[in-house]
Amino acid sequence: MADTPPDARRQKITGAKVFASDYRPRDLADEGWPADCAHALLLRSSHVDRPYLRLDLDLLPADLRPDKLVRAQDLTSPPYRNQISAESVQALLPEGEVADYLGQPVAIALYGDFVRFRRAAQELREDAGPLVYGPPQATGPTPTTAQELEEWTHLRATGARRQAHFLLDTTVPQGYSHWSRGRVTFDGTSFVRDNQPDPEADELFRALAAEPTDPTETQLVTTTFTQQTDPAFLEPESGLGWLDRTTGALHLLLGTQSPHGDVPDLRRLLGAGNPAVSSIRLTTTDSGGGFGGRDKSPFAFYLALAAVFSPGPVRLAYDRREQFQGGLKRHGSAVRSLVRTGPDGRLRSMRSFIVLRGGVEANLNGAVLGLAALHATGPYRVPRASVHGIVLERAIPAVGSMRGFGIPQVAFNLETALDRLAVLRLGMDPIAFRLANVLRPHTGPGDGDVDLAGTPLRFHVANAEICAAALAHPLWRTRNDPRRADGTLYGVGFACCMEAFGTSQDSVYSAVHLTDDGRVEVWGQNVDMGQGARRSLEQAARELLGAPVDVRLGVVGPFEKFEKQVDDLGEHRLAGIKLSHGASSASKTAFFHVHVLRETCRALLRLRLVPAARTLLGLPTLAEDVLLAAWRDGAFRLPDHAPVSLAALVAELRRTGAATYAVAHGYFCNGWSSATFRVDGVAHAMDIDALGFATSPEGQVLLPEYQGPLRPPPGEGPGKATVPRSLYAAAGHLVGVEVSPRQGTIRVVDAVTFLDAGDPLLPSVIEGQVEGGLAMGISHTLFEELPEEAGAGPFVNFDRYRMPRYADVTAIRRETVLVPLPPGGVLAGGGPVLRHKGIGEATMTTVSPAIANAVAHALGHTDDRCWPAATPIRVADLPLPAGRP
Amino acid sequence: MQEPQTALDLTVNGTRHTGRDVPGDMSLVHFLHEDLGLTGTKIGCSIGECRACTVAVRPHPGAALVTRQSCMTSMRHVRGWDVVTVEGLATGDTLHPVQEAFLERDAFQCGYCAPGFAMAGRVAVEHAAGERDERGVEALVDAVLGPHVCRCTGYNRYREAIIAVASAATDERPAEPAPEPSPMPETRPPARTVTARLSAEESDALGYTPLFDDPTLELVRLLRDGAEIEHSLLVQYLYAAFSVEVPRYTRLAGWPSHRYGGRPLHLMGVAIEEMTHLDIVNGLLVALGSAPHLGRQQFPYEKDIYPFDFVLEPLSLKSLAKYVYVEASPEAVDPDRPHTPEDRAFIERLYEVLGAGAQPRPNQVGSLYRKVGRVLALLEKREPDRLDYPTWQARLDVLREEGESEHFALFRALFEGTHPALLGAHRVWDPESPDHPVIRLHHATGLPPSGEPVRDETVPALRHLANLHYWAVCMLLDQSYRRGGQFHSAARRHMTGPLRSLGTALAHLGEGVPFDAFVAGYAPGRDERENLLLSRSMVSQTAIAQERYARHLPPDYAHTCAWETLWELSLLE
Repeated sequence: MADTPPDARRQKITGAKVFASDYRPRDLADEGWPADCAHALLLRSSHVDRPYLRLDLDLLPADLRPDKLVRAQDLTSPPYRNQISAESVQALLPEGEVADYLGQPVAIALYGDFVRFRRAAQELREDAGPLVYGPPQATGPTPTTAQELEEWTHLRATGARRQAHFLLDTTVPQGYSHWSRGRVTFDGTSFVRDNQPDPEADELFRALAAEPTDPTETQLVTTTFTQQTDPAFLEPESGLGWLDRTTGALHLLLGTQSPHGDVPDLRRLLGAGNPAVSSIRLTTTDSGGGFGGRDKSPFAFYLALAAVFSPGPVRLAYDRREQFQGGLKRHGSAVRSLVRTGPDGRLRSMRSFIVLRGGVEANLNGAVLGLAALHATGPYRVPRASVHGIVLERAIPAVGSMRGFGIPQVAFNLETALDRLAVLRLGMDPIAFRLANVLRPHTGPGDGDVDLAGTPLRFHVANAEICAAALAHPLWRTRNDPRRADGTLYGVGFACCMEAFGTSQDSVYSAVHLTDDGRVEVWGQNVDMGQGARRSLEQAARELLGAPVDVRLGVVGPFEKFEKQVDDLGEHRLAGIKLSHGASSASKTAFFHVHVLRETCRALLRLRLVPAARTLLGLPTLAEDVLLAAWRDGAFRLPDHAPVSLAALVAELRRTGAATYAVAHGYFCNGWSSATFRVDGVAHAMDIDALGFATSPEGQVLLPEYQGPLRPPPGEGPGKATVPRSLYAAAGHLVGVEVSPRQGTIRVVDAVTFLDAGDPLLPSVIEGQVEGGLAMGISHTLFEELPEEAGAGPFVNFDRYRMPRYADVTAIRRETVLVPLPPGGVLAGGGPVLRHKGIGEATMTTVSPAIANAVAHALGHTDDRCWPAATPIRVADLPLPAGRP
Repeated sequence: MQEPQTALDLTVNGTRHTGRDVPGDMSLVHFLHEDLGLTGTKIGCSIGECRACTVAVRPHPGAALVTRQSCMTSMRHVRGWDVVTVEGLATGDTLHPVQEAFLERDAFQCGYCAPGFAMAGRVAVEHAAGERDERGVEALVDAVLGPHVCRCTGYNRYREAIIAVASAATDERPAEPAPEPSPMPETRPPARTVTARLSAEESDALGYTPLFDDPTLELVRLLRDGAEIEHSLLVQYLYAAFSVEVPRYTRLAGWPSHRYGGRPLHLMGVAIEEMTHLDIVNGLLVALGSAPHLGRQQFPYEKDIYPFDFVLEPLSLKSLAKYVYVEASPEAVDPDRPHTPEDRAFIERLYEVLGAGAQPRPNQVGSLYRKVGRVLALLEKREPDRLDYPTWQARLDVLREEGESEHFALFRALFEGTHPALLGAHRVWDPESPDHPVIRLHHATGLPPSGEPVRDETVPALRHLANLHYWAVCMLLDQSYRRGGQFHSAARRHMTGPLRSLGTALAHLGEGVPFDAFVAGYAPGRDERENLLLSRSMVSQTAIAQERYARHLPPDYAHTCAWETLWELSLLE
């Protein structure tokens, strides 16, 4: 490698302090932290069928009783608000009440020294502990997921908070869709739009629900189940907190995916007018994995409470069992699809009912469900569709976002359904069948398809290219070749998806600082949890500025200040451009953050470095494009002139009191926002909507004037509803499996990932996501199974929750096929030419259905039962051929 | 619960830490983090499963470098260890080749598991020099890294990185001298001449009439009795733990949240403590120059020590009564002593359940160790330089104390239905009660009728494999006691991994773990070398059997366990 390894990576393999769990208060002495460290432990309720009465500390050995307790009664309102979400889930369960969910904390126990804490923790984690309960109360039977799904196919549900519905009819002009009509909801009897009954939607739903009357039509009903899983990132949640009582500043250090969301959430818990806490200062560290499980995690609430009530700095660190008990999970699912095709092998309609099993609180239920529903028809052209999703919230620990965001659950259903439909009902090659039905983006006026929401596919998506590549791949073409007869069954399966990246209203900040020694500091909002965010931003900034780059991630503070300044102008509200702060996910860096970073770098280059270069070169009228063309490797290199280096330019900027720091905001919603800035009398059009300069990161940020109004992206269709998603990356997997009836094993032996990633910013990072996505997909499909008692106590660890070890997956023959991106880039002419897509999640979505389809092929495609209908797939559930040993 | 401090004597990254005491129950990784401030070693699971906490260890000078999971290793077990952590892997600013290879190949993503992989890689590279070819190197690397968990990557870059470095290492023979044979954990006793007769004074001090005048011989006799009892109790409690209905009574069974050290709060906790008792007893045997003893008392017990037959049975009021009785101090269940009304009612109920078989207060297990303590005192008088007597007396105190107070308290609470895990349940020991916490396990041998194969059906296959792991554990422990605890982590790995998984799966089918005694004993070889080879054969047999019966195995069965142990055993050749 030409470049020296960046520091953070080196630190991670030399044992330097990198992760939140590495830090102790004594490591933060430079920031004023006292050296002593208390340790916090959550005491959790094990029952939801009986009241929690009180804590009886006499049940603990005397030397293991905590030095201090934080209980619900300590959270007096005001200022405190004893809630961990927008809804009525309490942070700490008060005495006399039945827990809102299994494992709900009742108290935070604080210990002044580690050894006593450790011993108490062991004891408390194992014993029923000092919690005293009242007698059990009668509770009704809990419905099974299958029963819940059955009810939901009649749009009946209990305990529901979140629903999502998409109705689509493209068979008539001005047909029904989210795009053309707007957002539709269901009130228990009929569909509702704009608070009015929507008879058109009712009619469409009924028409699709009617029994098929065309005898040439084929209908296939498929019901699938996927299990609840744990993100199982390897670093359990951990953090430090300290309330500096002299200033009222609450200092927190933790690894979170949502630092910007956490601070206001904590403020609500602690109370805006809390006299003890004047400010919250959150320092974000790299995380030992995230996968969505650190996005709005309840952990931060307990760390903050512990810190506010602890006399000095305090550490809260879950162990693995607590992480399994209290950490966010992926939704288990039950999905039923009803797919109809015509005699030509074209899809005619699809109905889909999705039940996601949620936890106690909203968390990101709504967002996950919305995305699951939007992807229920996959990358396919379905003329008429009726998709209905619901999250059933249950008294189990919070279930939130996880890599794939609801899409793997529906893809497992759809992709196994289509495989079966093609092979058993239509007698077609299942990839050719897909290829004939995939959605194609617009290439010119009037062509191209719409997604399930009716949104025209303006931007690039390579569904057809991926199916075509898989169809031609040797692994597929040789799948039926004779193999050695060793008793194992070999099969190859395919599955594909088109997966949205971004959140549909992506508000992104970036800042760049040029230092005196000619280095570049990049400040980002997002965090690095292994997805390569740091290195990708580094690379993007280095490509443009040609100098060594240091990246600081998870920055909280400067962007909030900038937001306020920009918001005060009033322009953004007027234009409908959001200035909020998003969370980090594996699919956001390459497209969103890199774009705004590049615009920020370009702003510095054009608006600050070019003028300084003119001065230093003594060429005050030299054209901007001549200078920009001469910018290489961190210097302006004009013929007959000595190179003008970044350090020299910064010195010149310093001398004249000009800015060396720039901060910018961009907004994506079916396109990037843009604006024209007037700087030194010259207009500069940029694909960002706010820009600021300062002489240092701490300095006063000055906003250049806008020339003309802001140009918001076209975020709404005729129905006046925000477009749910418009950016998609396609992906697919060809997987070869060996099923050994003798050994009872299913092993993935071949895997080809097809990916519509655009140009790799860093090939190694893309490959890393491909390899990791495959491993996690295999893990979800063949390994992970959360014991039912997970929430009730600290009962689950990696001994019982099996994930693939090194030995389980290193022998796979693996290949990546990257689909090339056309010259128009991701936005295909609908904005700046950007060449990277977000693929961190798409890399795992199709692994499960591809394995299931491979298993079906291995079993000989003899009947419907060959396609596994539930994950994890177990050999015991498969109809193995007769004559097995 | 006593938490004795342990004398610190540990070398970390070349620096020797000694001259003070640390808590014996503290794990090595917590010591590294909280005491030394070295947080490069990561905690992922705290039970030795994920290997993020892997450090490289030379247990004594000249020993082979091995991987150890620092999260499941207590400070009381690390005396004399030379540990390398990720902080000590580089030499100054020069990274170790494994670290370089990780960076070059972008082997890690979030990086949290990377220190564990780096240390395992370091160990594999050290041993690669002994491999003849590329395939040997690959097999070695796969064996050492096989159990590691990474959630971000697909592992292959780690594999390629380490194989590349290890292959380069095969070309360079290590400069270090060949490992020397391991010294015995304690100095050998001086040659003894004719045994001195027991004096009247000595006899009085003992408080009983020993069978032998030679205190060493008497100690060996008593300790072998003790070892058999601890082993039997361990197996009986383990069996009872598997009989508990889960998930409802998970806290009573304790197996999902087992840990090491600390007050036993459930059946698994007691079973684990019996294992540590077994360690103490065997440790003293070895210190006395005797062989360790992994045998189990056959039927019936010597009635003066343990008045009940050895029975593998599900938990019941009757079995609890026996456990209470055995673990009690003489005073606690003596009907002739004054008691509070509650205690009196308890004692009466106890004898009522025990029925005619129980005599009011015979001798019991605690008194065995009192005898051992007194004979040890006699030995100290005669041979004051032979052993570290205060340490052994302290350990015997722990052993006695844990039985008579903590185990007794636990079993009494269960017997009376007042244990917190039983709160809210009614008529718990009535088998007809819906709250009865026990699965009626069917018990049968795992041995096939002679000359017949183990049937290829789930229950016989699981029983057989459970036996193999149990026998492997016993053989590994036997070897371990002879070699300063070298295979303790391996033995524990088999117990908490495959054996736990098999026990759970069998209980799910209403079957118990057979725990058949191995007819050959656990050190059937002629000498140390033969015993080691036979132990390896036993572990190999588990590897063969787990493949042969793979389709019957539960999903959480750890296939890598046997392979890892085989690798560790291979280092001794």
